[in-house]
Amino acid sequence: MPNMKRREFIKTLGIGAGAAAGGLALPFGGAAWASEGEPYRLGLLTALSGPASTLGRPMQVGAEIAIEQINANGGVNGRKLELIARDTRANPSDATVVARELVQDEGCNLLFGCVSSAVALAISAMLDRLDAALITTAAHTMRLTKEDFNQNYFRITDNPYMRQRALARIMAEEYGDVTQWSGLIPDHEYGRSTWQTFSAGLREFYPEVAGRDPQISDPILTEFGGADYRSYIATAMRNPAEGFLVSLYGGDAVTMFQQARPYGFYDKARAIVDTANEFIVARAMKENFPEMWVGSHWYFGAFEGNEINDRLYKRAVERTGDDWPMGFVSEAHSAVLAYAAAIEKAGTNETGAVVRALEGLTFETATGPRTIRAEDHQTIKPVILYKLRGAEAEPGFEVVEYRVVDGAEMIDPPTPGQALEI
Amino acid sequence: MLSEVGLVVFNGLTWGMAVFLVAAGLTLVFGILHILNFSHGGFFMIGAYVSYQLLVTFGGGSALSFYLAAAFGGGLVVAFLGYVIDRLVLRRLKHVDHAYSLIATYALLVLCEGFVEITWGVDYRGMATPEILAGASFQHGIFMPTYSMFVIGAGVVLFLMLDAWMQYSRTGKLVRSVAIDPWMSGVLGVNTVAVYTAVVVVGFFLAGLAGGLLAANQSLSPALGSQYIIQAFGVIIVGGIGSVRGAFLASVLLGIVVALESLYFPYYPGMLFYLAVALFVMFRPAGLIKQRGVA
Repeated sequence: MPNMKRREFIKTLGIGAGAAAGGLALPFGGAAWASEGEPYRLGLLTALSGPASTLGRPMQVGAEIAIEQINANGGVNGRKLELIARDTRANPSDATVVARELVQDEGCNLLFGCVSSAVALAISAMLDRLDAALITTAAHTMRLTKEDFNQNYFRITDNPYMRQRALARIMAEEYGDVTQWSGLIPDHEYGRSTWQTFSAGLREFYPEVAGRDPQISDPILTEFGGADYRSYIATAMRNPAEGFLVSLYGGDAVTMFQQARPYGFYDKARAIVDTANEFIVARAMKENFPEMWVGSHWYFGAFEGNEINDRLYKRAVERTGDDWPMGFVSEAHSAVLAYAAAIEKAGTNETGAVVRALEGLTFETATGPRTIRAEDHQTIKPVILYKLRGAEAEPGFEVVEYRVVDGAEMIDPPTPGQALEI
Repeated sequence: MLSEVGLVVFNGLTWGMAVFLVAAGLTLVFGILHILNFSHGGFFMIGAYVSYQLLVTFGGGSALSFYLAAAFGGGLVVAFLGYVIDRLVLRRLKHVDHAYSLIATYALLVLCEGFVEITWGVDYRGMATPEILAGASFQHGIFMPTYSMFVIGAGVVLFLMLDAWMQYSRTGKLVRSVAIDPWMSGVLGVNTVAVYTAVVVVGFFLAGLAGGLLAANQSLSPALGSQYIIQAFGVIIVGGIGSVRGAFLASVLLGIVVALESLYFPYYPGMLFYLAVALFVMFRPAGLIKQRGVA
């Protein structure tokens, strides 16, 4: 029976009638199971080719799984969801062209995705003109919910402020005796803001948790997209710090960590924190990967027993053959769930109605319930961190331990239209 | 103070020789064909991936001999590709406007990236440093990784071999004569087409070899092709396009500039390199060593 199937699915999501009565929105459903009329179209903007597709492809996988699951259980308001994906190549000018194409030619006024801050800022700036909404599925620049806030923009993930503060607190808890800190950060806005937030977190949590004052040196700024990080590593070796924040990303991080090894950097650095590379560097370096704490959007092992998590993980592995899916899978999955819940709540996919429905929405995801803050459209969700190290056995690394930090404790105050103040 | 000077020299030489390994083939090809080969970085990348694949396929663990053999193998594969590219593309560009050369070689770079993406995927890959090169020594307050010393040594050896070949061997002299006056060389019985092809093959071999030698300290991804290429172009512009000696000298000078920057201007990473190149172009547009052909 189709109706029974739908009920069972909602039950597995842990958001049955009781949860709904408690204020949770039901992301799937409607009065009738049978799909009638045109499907609701959602537009995915992400990097599907080029080097950044290593981040964009997992987003597509997560989005497709969410839509497959929702449609298999009756769709939304009796209508199916349809995904239209376009390749941004992580380039703002390409992204604005395909965003316009998605909205004006394909009728996708509900957009999501984006692998880079530059793309997210470019699309966010044109949302009013397009009469479209955008949910980003990566932790982009704080400006999106601060000084460059657009009422049609939403961030479904944690933000850099939440991530860095959580990392700082874990460092104070785990490495209370490592009080001298510095950083290796890329010379751009994201790099500088990660350091600013992390160092503020160290100053806040070390006295509180470890009972000590941290001594923080200026970070070592590195070239963005560089091929040779040896000079920066040599500078780090002369720095008295024993703890380092590293916010280089992707290939830059792999190159830097590779080049740091012969310097004995891993013997000197008693604590290393990688803000966002998830399994990327560990997968590349395998057994040579040093032990460090890494920030992530999602770690399936941390949410075992959560039915949405378990089903998402199982399906992602089936589809990709990869036992260690990236966090972007979960974030794109969550973005589709958010739109589904908002469309159901609004009874329409009209942009203004969906935007209003998203504001303050609480919905279930693979990382548990998330709430989209009404004031600045930042989502309150758990911050996930794990300690990784290289290993002989496949896949060449292992998760030593993980932490799930309550996002509500780490989040910044909502100040849309104003720059972040630390 | 002494340790700071030593640090600048050591880091500068490491940077410089890594870039020289990439730039050598680039300047060699320009010296004779007068084509700025934008795809050079792409073939450097293919050399790195082929070396990686050889090590993965045939094992060899972390022995230096296997590492060098894999790098040589990468060079040979890229040299063969160079032969094909010469026959299909470069030979047709010799007598057309530079704009066509730029478009054609850029298209080749895009093809290289696509080939790597299809063959190896977009995930980042890493190659372990040979065990014997994985250590470091600490002397006079300077950390000197063995791998960095290996890169410096490889750059110097390559320069000496290329220079000796160009200056003292019969084939080197033939190459120089064709570069300076191909018509007269042809009249005197030199097979200029064969010389062009040979230089392209050697230039591509050097690109592939550089990819293999430097792969252990890089992340392998389809973006690798553009990682060293800007620095390599900077080096051959400053050195004098087409001059191997100039490229070597410029590599050392720009390496020192980059090392000075990270020590004394840490808040402006990457800027001093571009500033130095711009100043050289303004005040010495022909480069450090001005010449008519390869030397």
